[in-house]
Amino acid sequence: MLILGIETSCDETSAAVVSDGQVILSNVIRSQEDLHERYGGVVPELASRRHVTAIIPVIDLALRDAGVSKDEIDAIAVTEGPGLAGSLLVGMNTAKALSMAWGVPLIPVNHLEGHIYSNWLTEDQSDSTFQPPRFPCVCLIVSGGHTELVLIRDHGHFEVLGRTIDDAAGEAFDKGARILRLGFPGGPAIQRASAEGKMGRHTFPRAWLGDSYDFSFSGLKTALLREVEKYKREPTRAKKVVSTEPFPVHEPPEYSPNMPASDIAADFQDAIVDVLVKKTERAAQEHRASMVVLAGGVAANSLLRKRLENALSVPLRSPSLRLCTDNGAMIAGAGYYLYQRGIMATFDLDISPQLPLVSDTALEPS
Amino acid sequence: MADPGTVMLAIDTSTDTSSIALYSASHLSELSWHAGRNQTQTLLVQIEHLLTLNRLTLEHIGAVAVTVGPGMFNGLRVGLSTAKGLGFGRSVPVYGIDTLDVTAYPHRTSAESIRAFVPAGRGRVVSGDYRKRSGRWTRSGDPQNRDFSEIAAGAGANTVIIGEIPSAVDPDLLENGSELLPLLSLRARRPGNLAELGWRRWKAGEPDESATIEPLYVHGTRRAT
Ligand SMILES: [Zn+2]
Repeated sequence: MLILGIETSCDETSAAVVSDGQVILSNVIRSQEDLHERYGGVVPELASRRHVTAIIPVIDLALRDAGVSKDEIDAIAVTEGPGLAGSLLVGMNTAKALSMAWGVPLIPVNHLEGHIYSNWLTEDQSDSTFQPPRFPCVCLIVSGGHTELVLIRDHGHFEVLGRTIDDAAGEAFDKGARILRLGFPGGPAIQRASAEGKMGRHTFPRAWLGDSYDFSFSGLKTALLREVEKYKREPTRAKKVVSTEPFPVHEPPEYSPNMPASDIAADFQDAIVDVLVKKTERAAQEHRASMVVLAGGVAANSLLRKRLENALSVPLRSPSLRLCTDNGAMIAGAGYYLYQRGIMATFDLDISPQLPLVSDTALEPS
Repeated sequence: MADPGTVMLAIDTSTDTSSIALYSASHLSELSWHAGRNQTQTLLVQIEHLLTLNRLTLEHIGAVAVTVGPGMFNGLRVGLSTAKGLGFGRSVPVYGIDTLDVTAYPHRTSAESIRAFVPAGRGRVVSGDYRKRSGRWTRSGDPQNRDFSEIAAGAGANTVIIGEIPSAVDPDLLENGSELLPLLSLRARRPGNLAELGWRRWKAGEPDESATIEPLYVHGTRRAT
């Protein structure tokens, strides 16, 4: 079964063709990083605009890369939410129109469920040794928009053990990188700087929140702001009074050249990773998980992967770097398992920017 | 009603009022409804409905016309994404048409000058001035984002002021000058006019725009902070 997956929930326009929820035939990802860099974060209105012009060329390329024609597609899977409204609706309305145009089912996919299923995908069609993850497993979803610890008992049986109560882990990286003037996106920027820095010279708080599996990263940002305060300098350039820009451009703070930005970044990263690792390890133990799977943009962080591997007594599985970012293949992958359980949408399907991750058993009447 | 591939589908989701039309050499069928923020939920359902009412299927559609704005940004994105998906999916051309052109179009036979406007949210409108110059209608200058209370400012006598009045404001604001004011029912944009403008471009053999068209984003002036 060939599913076309469409994903536009944030700042990547992506479309992919996946066979039977496992083999990726194509996965086109058009990133917008260049567009948002000068704003120091994703500007929702600009993201939505880029999706409108990128969506058809991206879908067209996904079909051509896969070597399949329009009439070979059996179903269309699309991100329903959570995400940015203006961005989600571009993918959603395109997907609905294609579903009508081709007379194929439309499968609504939760973006977080998509991230989870990036671990069920392989890019290598000839890999006969590929094994999908075993249940029960614990999944840590860490990205710019999300930090969720999920217990997966079976396909469609999710239990959210904990989530962030304020900033997402990726958001903390973005904000940290912005404060330290390290660039955007923040995750890779902080990781790069940390590699050159020395750890242990600065102390950052860890929010353990008692026995809970919830996360909190906003205090970390406050602590970082306090840390860099002593290095701050008056801006040398005069502030522009009138801007013709429709969106406010990020004006980075100015610091004295002897600020040890790399050292600070290393301890800042350590504080985030520390909490993620300890909570994931405890969740895996408590729920007797047979493995732990990672997902989301921050899963690309090498310190996180290394620390988790060392801490866990069960295997760790993480998607390829490409599958960590938002992508259409993970939506097509999750869509396949939803379709197997008969989950399809009608043309009145709407986007759902705040959509939580729930089991489909929770949707059935008891 | 028609042979396969001979009908134009027109989609206008520029504002809270959504509308669609099916247009062919011999027939016009229109539908409009107050969609508000429910455009994603209602648009494709209504397209299917209008096709069924006319005993047509997607096979009959040979081209798609869609308004590109000015208008509400998210609304425009709903219409464009749907038009692009249908155009690409069915391999038929898509034509993007200016929403102000659609608004002004039906009045070009009865007026000397036209100010067309489209609600832009929060009591503001985007307007464009049209004039007949040596037999041809042309728009002067860029669209203007202005407060609705200033809709008649500088328009001059004998100007038809035409457009959908933002739901938040008093229509009587219009009744204070020497401008020509069409009946309320004539002020709304009609999807048949969009279809006709798109039809001309289709019949002229203009190339498909489905991969490239984007909304026309007209901003108000941002105050410096
Ligand atoms: Zn994501």
